[in-house]
Amino acid sequence: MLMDGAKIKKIPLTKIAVHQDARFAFRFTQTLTPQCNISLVRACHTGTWSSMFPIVVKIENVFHVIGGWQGLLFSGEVEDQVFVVVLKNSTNADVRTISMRFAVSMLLSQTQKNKHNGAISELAEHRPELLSGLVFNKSFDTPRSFSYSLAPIDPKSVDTQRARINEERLDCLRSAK
Amino acid sequence: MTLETKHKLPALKNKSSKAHEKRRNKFGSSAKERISEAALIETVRYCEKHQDNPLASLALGSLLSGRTSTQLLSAEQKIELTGTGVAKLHGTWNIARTPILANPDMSVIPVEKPGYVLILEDTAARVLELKNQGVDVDECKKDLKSFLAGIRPSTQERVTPDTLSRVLNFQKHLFKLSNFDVSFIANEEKHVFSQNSYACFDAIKLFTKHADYMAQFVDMSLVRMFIETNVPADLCFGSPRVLTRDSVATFFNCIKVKLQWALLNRFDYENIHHWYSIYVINILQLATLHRPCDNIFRTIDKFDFVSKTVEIQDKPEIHTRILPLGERALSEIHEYVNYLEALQEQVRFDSPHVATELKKSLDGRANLFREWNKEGLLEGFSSLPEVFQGDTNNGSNWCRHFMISKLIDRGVNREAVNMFSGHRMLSEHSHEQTKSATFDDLRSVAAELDDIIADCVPMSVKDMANYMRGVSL
Repeated sequence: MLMDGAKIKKIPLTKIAVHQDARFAFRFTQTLTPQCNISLVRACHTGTWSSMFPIVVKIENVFHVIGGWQGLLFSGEVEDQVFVVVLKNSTNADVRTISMRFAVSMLLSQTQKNKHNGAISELAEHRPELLSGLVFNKSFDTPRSFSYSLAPIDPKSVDTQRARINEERLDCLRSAK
Repeated sequence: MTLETKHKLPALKNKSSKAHEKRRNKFGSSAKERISEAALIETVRYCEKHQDNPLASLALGSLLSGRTSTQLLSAEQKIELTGTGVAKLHGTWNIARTPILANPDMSVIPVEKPGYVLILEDTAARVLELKNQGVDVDECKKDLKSFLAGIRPSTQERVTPDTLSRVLNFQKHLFKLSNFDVSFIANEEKHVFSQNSYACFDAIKLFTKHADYMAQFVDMSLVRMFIETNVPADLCFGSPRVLTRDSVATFFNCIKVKLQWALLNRFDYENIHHWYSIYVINILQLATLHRPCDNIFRTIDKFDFVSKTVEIQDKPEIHTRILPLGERALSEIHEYVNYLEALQEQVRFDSPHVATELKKSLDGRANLFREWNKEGLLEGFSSLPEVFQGDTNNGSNWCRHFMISKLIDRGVNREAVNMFSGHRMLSEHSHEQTKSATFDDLRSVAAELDDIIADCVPMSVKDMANYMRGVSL
């Protein structure tokens, strides 16, 4: 199996390159516009802003990324050394499949735009520690300001979205009448 | 004389000949070789009185055309009688070949090669007669000298064959004839004011000014009528390699289409880099009038964004010059640097070698403009198509010919154009106090170049850095 014998390794950033066969998928994901301001996020245990480990194969002392490169994209914080998952064996066909699957997974995880800010605000409301800089490199006053800093939008729309989400959740009650 | 001093002799000779040339190029209206108006009137009357003598026509021909008797009688001098009372005195320059353009939608401005000036047919016919008799040129010059010695002006001046041929040069300012116009009329050697062979210029303007000059000596009504009725309104002389304005627009439209295609295919960074670089390099070619040469712009530190200048090297040997840049060129280079920074970030992981090389370019340790092909980032851009070196399709060096012609059309100071394009006159250095153009004059040339670019280039590219990074939040 593909993941058999895989190991997590800490490697210098200078030894990372995108695999030739994953280049198209990588460049495709570079064209995606993130919904959130990623530059606000601190680097985490992986060495990048994302908690996902890049998947790599080692060829001639260079670690070629074939998937999970979310943390290497965009303008988020990246440390000089990052943790990666090193696969033991993979074919070129594997590289193409894994890289494309990753590009697709990035697309699939996009939140619906008319609920995006509401969801961010709700998360902060339930976990206020997010406002105080636990994950981000600055602190925020309110869930609403947190939401529009992360994904700029008219602040009032944050409230509108929250109200809409709540309304939808109450739909089942109304229909039960 | 020691061996050492013998070796120094040629250098001394060289030095004085340069000084002589400098004096010659800067003829002032008070130079002692000048003949006064009174003496000129007497000379013309004397020639009219002896009109049966072909030497009188030779003297008049020299006075009218600014050409020496030796030039007029030489085998290369073609004299064409038109039967209308006006003759064409042809130039003897070897003009470049007209390029064959690959794109049928593009064309060059047609020119008549090598160009001619108009003088009275009677005068020309008698000179032609002398030529056809196969007279010895040197003997004839001696005879002319003796003939002119018969003139006894009240001013006690000496009228000689040489002083007669210089009158045009002394009086050019009175008739708004530039050094370059005079050089063409007098058929000076091509290299003396080589701008004439780089530019395509309007013949009628030149004929009219020349006729104004000649009118002080002889009746010009036939010549003026000939200009009105026989000379095509669009007759041009000079460079046959000047693209029309619409052709330049077509050239940039082709780049625009290619760049659009590259931008739509978002994942082919090499192709985007290729066409965007071609666009910027071509704009800089128009803005600097440089010669075709490898790596003219070299590194980023050659651009000075504070003084708004660039140091270019457009000859294979060390030959650098500092040129002012117009706002358009500055903005393009600014955008290009921002784009390279964004590109460096984008390819950091997918093409680490390219990113490293881009960093070198941005740090000034490698050339700024570099082609990116399958082998990676090359040292320079000389192999790119659609830039001057490889651009045989549009006639190599077309940018220079086109822009110089446009500047002259717009009446920009030709000495400044000369200095800007690196056609420094032998007698001048840009740092000399007595030079014909100052750096401020060069700045006005740069501003004019900006205007021409705005008029002829139907495209602009903005925010390529944002394009590479994706739309920012």
